[in-house]
Amino acid sequence: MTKLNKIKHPSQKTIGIPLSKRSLLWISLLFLSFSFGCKKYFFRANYSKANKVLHDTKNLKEKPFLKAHLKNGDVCILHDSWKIDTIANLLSGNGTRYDYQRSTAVDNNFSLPFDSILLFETNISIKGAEAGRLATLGVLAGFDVALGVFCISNPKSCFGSCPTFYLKPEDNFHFADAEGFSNAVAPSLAYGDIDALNNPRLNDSVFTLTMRNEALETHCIKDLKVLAVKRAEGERVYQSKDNQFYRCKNTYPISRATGAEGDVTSLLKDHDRVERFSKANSRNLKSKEEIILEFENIQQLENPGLVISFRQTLMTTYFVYSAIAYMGEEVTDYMAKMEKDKNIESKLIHGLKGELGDLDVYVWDETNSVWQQQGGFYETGPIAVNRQILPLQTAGKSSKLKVKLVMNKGLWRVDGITLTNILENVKPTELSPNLVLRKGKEDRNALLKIQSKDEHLVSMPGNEFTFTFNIPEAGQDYEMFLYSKGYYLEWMRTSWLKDKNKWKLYTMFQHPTRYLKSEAGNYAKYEKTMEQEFWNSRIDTKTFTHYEN
Amino acid sequence: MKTSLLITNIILTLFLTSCSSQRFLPLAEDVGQNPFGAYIEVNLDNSGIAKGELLGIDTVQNTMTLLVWPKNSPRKPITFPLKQIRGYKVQYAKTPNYSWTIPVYAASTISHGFLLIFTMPLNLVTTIIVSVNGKRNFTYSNKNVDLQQLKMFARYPGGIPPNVVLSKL
Repeated sequence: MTKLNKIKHPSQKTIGIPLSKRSLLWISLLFLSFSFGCKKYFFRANYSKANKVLHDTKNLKEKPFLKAHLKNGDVCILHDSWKIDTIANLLSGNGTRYDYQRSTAVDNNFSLPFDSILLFETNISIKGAEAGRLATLGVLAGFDVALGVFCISNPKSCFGSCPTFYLKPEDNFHFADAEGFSNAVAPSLAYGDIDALNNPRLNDSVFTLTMRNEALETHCIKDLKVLAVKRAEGERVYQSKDNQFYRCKNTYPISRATGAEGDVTSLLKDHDRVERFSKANSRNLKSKEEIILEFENIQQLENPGLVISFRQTLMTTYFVYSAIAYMGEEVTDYMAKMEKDKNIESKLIHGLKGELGDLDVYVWDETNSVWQQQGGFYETGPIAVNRQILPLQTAGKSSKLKVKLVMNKGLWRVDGITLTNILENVKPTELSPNLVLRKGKEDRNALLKIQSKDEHLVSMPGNEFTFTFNIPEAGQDYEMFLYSKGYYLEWMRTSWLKDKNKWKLYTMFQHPTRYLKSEAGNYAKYEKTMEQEFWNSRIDTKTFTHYEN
Repeated sequence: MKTSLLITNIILTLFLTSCSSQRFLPLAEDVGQNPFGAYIEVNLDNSGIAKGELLGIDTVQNTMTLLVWPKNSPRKPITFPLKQIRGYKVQYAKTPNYSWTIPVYAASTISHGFLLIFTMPLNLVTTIIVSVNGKRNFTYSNKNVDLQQLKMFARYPGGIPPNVVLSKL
């Protein structure tokens, strides 16, 4: 009695997935673990002897269908009521008999002598073979729908803003090297920005930059330039809040950083995209916090400058979107009024911004035992990381320095802080683009518009432009900064119309202190999901500042 | 660019092959009641690929017989020596077609705003893998089953009986 063979399902291979984001990788692995969850099937067996069939099937809960392959080529498929009579040498049961051509099928109660049978075949029913895949697709569909519903109900969370710039065209939104004119939500608010590009050493004779519109907005770019400053080995050039450029040398990391939550040294020690941030005060959005920084073993404290990599949380984005939503269908009327009335513009710029304040810097004066205010940092925009410098005024020659940052809670994400020595104030060379590519093809019209003093280069959602600049001295290394000037028009979303609230709009502009207090609860709910959903990933360190022509 | 081309090729292949599941193959749950042999594609040394229903394997004569149905021609049996076989792939049940999920799921991520940068690749990767795995389900190759085991998927697993007139199949 011989059981001929059993068949099992081929083993599954694991496929490597080249995904750049850890969170995405984990989610993917979850889904893939479902999709690879295939069963191994041991479903078919062939027997030449009836006794072995009896032996192998007697303990089965569900009696399998039995195929009797006859010596003449016919096959008889018996339902689960078949019987094997080893005394009479008969196989009997209800089923279907097919001729060798399989063209005729006869249903009957059959009684087949063993000597007419060449082979017995049993097949265990394969059930739930697709369960894993269906579960995967179901979970993925649930995830997509849930996120879709979230984005539709919270569109402010799911759409970016401002033109984004990339040194590497293949980078995505979360690795933007710069973002342009975040505050310019209307033509009258147009202004120029300077973003440090933190470019690696240059060896080429040209420099290229890709600009994208990745939001539901119309971007109007009035001017675009690259500001280049020569740098030698070991030197960096940083820009201050007031757009002064400083050639610097030496880097001193912080020895200790302490926030309200405790030791945050590891978060702030390096410009590594690992950021320190806090949640906003859920009772009042205007609420300050402090971080104490200690620098030790400073070899040279002459002309120190504090270099900070930072960006905003989505708090200011929330205010911009909320303001537009409060305007409801009258948004264009308000925008038109704003174009005519500089008072509204002033309130828009200075109202909330004034309340929230800068990222202020103080230095501890050992002699007088007081904190001396040094200045501050401020840049709007939650996408690209800004890297700026603040020259410090210190009296002592000590190798230690104590610095305090005072900032609004929940407004800033600080990546890294270092101390450097300022060598000199420098003036950058302005470079205009000499070639514009769109979808890989030269776009002379775009070049003319960006070079024109009277026209704007208009970029619609999904547009991508690549600008090429000639480097003044090929082979020479430069620190590059992007200067972009323009404004953008946020597209009104239907779902925002329901948020129309003139009273809130009035409060926001006329009584920003009261607004920040009354809106704290709403923002806390928004912040909870917003931060979890969108800022798990880390962003490249870039500078972003204000530059007025 | 290469990644986009690869994804496009996979999607196109899945769509083009989505209708290729053989009609005579049963659903997985009906495999035990199917009187026909499995569908097999055999790579041959000289004459390319032979595709059709596996009729039988004769380990005495060392031959394999298939019932093939060339385009615009009546079906016919072909027999070739086992030594000509370089490899084979056998499918014993209809494979589900999930290729429709690739564009549908990818399109659904449009509602995710800029998060689609993450969710679209996730959806593409998952649905492509589900589709590819779905296609590979109920399929064995010469890496999984040897010729002895392959016999079980033939219409005549014990060999083609002498009375069978192949030309009448």
